[in-house]
Amino acid sequence: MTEYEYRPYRAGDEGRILETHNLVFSEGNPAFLPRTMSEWEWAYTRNPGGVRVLLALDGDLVAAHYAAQPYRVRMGGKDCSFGQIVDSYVHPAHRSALKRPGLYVKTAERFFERFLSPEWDTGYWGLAIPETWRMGRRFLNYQLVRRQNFLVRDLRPVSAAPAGAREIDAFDGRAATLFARCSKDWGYAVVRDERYLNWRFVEHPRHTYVCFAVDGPGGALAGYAVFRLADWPAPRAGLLADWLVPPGDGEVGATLREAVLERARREGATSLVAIFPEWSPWCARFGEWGWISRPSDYVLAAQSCYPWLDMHFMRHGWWTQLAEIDLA
Amino acid sequence: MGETTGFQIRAYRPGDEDSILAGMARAIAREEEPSLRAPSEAVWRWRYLDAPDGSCIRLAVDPEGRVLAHFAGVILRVLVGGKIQRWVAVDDSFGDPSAAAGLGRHRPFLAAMRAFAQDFGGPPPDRHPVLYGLPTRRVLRFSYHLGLPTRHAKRRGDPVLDWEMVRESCVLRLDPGSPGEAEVGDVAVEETASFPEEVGRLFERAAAGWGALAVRDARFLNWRFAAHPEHRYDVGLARRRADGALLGYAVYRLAEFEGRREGLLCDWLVPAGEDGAAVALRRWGARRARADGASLAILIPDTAPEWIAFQEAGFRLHPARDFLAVLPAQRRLDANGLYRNWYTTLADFPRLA
Repeated sequence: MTEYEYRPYRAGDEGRILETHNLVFSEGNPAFLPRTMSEWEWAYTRNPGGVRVLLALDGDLVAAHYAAQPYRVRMGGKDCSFGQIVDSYVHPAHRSALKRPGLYVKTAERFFERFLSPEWDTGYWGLAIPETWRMGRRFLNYQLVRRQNFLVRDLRPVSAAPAGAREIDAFDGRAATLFARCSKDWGYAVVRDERYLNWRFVEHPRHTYVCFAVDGPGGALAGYAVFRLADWPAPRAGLLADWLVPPGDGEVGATLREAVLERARREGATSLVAIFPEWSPWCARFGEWGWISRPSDYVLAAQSCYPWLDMHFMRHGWWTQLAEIDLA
Repeated sequence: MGETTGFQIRAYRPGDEDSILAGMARAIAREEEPSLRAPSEAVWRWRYLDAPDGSCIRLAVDPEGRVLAHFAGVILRVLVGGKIQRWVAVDDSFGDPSAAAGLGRHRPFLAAMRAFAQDFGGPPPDRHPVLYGLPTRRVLRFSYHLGLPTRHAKRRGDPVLDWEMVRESCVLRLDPGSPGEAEVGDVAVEETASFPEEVGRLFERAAAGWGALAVRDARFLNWRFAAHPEHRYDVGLARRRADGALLGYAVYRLAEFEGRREGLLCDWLVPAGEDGAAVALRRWGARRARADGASLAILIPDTAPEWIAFQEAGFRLHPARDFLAVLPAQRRLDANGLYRNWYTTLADFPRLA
């Protein structure tokens, strides 16, 4: 029986992590594009929130990997860290389907022992398919926040791009002001500031995002929307990856909506996809604009280190967008 | 049934009502949700003593006869893969918070909850393969902290407390000023206060599209709606004008729901393909709600075809407070399977509306 060494990531592990990562995700997936070193560095060592990786090593081989991308989250006026679970897997030669708990769960348990605390990360979330949701609930204490629906809009013929929205190359300090304005009534949300937004969208090493902004009085940022063409959750889906507009600014919202529609049409998207928490006025507004809430097999699951930060709190107070999901 | 320190777990006995209702009022006063209400004795008796397929009750009672905890549910017949099972809609569960101080204050409630699951949950035909309900935030915390095997390093989880979440609840709501739908087909809506026997045949047609659906026959529906001791429901029967065939029905009531005055579509059954009936019933509901000066709302699963149709008709998505939780005794009836295959409306939750 293998005696694994469990430990957090150390500088120099990158190569062996990528070897196992690319082996695992290429299984049965001929279209898989191997992750590059610069992509790995973007996801982990360049993440402004820090690095959260726990490895199970068999000698030099990464036998299992459990990781998160932590983000700065504003919760009731205070900032803390919350992470999205990503890239969690076991090397094919180290899987033991009949043993419970297996190496996956053991590695995850050590990850949570190490990092789930107010000093590191207050909690974690993940978008799970039914099988991983079942295991996460049973063995890793995940709770259901919601069955994740997608707001979907079929594309219609579009007019010219609206005059009020402009494409931007990068976000600046005005994003944080807009975020503060929009988030004052939210229970908690990943902080949308210049640093996070540029890391998440502008510097992404694989995906190309189009960022639209609408200017407000005095040069303020009145709202923004981020778009990308993707093959998830459906082929040629236009993703509304992020949306930040004060709920009362319907005109700004309509301008950004038209900019995204025009761009999606131009890039050959067959539908547009977004997510909004149901408590947001934008959820109902997008319904009025013809976006339909459609069910999916995904579960938005989370856990935290505080009993009060439970599924009720998260469901009724957490601002979520596709930006919160690494697949987008 | 059994004795634990300071209280006994047992079934309901005639005469317990006063103590049950007094304890329930005290417990509800402590909940975080202000719209929760203790039922009257007439409603409690209707719910648990008059239910056509019976009920399940476990009480924690102290030596003076005071009810310290109450865990109760209504038995509903559910058509699952062509066979009838008996599931339990757990509706009124409480622990009297004044019974004890400190950590011991939850013991009677937990004991009643455990006894309920052990005595009633289990495989058919003798037991109830699914116990379900809309637990309060407090009960969900019990389930989460005591049910799962991984929560405590030195203590195994308690599987009878390990309720699974099927889904969060969402309301589809049509605001009073929304534009009306155009009529489709030759369908008329007949208003009535009770259900005719022919609704059973409609149920059989509708059930074909679902893995699990509570039996909506005249016996159940007339108990659930027509015989309610306090609420007045209006039933809309959608009939084909040409031959009077029943194509679908809806049940409407103006109610306080989660602190908001709504025209509620408390039940909705329209077989797949009967689009004209669906439109006619939505128009009927919208007219009723408009007359009441209220929005029109419905709770249906997002996996139902109606979920899309209602949105296309102008209904908008809003969150509801509760999560639907189950304690299943069969793997195929786990939360993921029920999420995809089980059709529910407010009719399946006799406490709600």
